[in-house]
Amino acid sequence: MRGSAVKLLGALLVVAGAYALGHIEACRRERRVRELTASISALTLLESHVVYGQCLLADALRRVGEEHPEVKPPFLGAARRLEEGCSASRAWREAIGAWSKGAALVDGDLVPLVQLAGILGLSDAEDQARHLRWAKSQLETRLAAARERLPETARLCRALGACGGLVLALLLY
Amino acid sequence: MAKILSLPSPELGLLEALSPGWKRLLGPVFESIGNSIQEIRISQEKPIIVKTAAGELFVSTFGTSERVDQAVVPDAKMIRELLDAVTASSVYALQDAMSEGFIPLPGGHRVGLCGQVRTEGGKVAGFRHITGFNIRVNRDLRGVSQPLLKRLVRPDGRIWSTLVISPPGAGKTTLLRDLIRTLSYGAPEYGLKPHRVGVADERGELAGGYRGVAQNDLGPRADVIDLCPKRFALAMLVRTMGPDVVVTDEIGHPEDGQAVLEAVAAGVSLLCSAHGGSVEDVAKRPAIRPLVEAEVFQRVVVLSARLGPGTVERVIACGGAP
Repeated sequence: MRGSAVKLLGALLVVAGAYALGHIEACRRERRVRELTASISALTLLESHVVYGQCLLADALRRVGEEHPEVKPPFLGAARRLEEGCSASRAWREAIGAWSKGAALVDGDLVPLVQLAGILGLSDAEDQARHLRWAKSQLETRLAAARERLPETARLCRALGACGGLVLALLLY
Repeated sequence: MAKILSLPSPELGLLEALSPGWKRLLGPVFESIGNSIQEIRISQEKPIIVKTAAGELFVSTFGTSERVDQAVVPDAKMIRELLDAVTASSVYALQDAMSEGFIPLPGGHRVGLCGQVRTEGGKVAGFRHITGFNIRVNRDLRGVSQPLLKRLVRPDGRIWSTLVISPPGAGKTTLLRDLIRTLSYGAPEYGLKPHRVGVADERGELAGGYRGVAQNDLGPRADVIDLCPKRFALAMLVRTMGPDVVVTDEIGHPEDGQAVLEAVAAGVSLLCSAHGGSVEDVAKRPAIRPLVEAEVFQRVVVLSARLGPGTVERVIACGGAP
């Protein structure tokens, strides 16, 4: 009797754990959408500071980071590295690299951002605007696809987690 | 022939504007001869040269050297790193100045540029490739105009309209800057009243402006319009700021001369400078001739670098002034 109760408790824990994993993955996908949205918004603001505000790049990055909490780390990180005397290219690459470890974005999402490394601050305003808009358009395409699939994939992740847990629990039982 | 007073000035902000690699290279140079550096010439695949009042030296890995074989020769990577540093990775914010051929730095220092230029509609729009820099150290020398004041102050306490002539590098801009400051504060010991001074600083060298803020002290009554063509800046100053005297550097184009004539017609005094070795040469120039003919100037100061930058060769009374 007591053994059955332990088994049942174990099975419940397996199901709950598997569901939690599915839920975490669903949340990560939701966070990816939020981060993509924030990245696009941040690049729009960066374009505004660079092209119209003519702010120095470190100032522009800092202001953008302070306005967008979702993407604060790469923007503030790059601003800090720039002020330490690092080149814009290296500062941006390092900041994106460090952020990518904890971000929900997938590798493909990071490509347009990383590609800005050789561009940011190194050309005239028109050229900066062109590159920032190109990066935004790439992110918008990815955002549209991610947003379209999100309800389905989030539900699927949670369902797969729960079902996988049940199957595992049955097998173990 | 008086030698203008020369005071050492620290190179505030200049090293700070450079990248760590360039700081390591130029740090020992500034430590050893910092007070006498006038220019640092840096070109891709050419030895780095430091110009001082005493002559030129090469930059080596341990400081300076007189031997070219010990000179550091920067490669494309070093040049890119330097460009990144002096522009603060913000080329887009410096487009106007860069299309004039320079980058302003904090502290009023200037970096002249060389390389392949990009033109649009027959005008310089910027640089496609930058391969050479001339870092010009800003020396805000105070008191250099004092030996001249006696000759430049009118009996009524105002300033005679004055033209400063010298070859490049002989101290025109430094003298004008100190005159602006002295006029702005006033110098009762010389009978000089405080003046409201309008400064048309087309190349940004008088005020040493950095992002619109003058890095040099021009006194409490100086109004500066920088990086603006003289013809517009002078008209704006006269129209809106009510100056007693207007100042502009390096009159070279006929339209500059015309703008000056219009400013003088408004009843203000004038301080300006022109490149040239002698009064006769300068007076023949199309930009200056109309001013001479109109007897705009009552004083002409001729400078040279014979005894070092700022050597006053002559102060000439003209235009019917005593």
